Amino acid sequence: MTPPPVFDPVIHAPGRLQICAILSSVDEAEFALIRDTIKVSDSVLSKHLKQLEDAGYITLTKTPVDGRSRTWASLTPAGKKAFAAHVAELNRLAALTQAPVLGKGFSG
Amino acid sequence: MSEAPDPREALASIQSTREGMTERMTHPVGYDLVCAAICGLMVASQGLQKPWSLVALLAAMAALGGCVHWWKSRFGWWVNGYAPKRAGRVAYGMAVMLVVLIGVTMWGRGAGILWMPLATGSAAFVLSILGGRLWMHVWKRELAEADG
Repeated sequence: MTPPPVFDPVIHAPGRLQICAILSSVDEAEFALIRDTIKVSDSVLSKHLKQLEDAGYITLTKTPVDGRSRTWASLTPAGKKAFAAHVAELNRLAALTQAPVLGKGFSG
Repeated sequence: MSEAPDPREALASIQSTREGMTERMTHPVGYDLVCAAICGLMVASQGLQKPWSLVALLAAMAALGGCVHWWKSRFGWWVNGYAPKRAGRVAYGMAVMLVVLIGVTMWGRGAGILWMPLATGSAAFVLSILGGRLWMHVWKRELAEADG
């Protein structure tokens, strides 16, 4: 079921929107994969992840691999709901901004 | 993209990010072969007498766990095969067919049909390869068509 549309300023920032797009596609994704996909630096990604974590939208877990710690991120149920509501709002707004263009065409 | 993208720009960003992800989501045929071999052996081993059938089942489960671990460390992502809507149906379908094949193998053991484990194990091997590839194809399409 599609949740009611709600604009979420935490999610709307371009970097965080992309992170949520990735995490909504998989159960969990590793830091390096997210960084390489959205093409940001480690520090920028860390900042975005921290903001999403503080909002309760993602959980971060660290697992040791070959003596190094790797960070994994996943959307929480609240994060999934917020992202779906935000996307619903984007769709609603996109539909609204399309309407005048169509109307203009008819009015000549 | 600007700092405060308009809705269509934001939706396009979500779409392109997902496309970027799916482009990276390729895996070697060797992975399919290993997983399929494990599934084939898991099914065929049910033709063995107890407790060896149980030991083989547990060993196969552990080996599949190893495959998950390898995938995560190699690719940096994981998704539960049963969770996506359409791809999940493929996963459930495969699981049901593997359980049926295990049942047929056990029946064959009871009936004394010696070649049955070979036939069901081979069927499980082929099913796992085809099912795995089908799952990935359906899931990628599901992601591409998702709007949120």
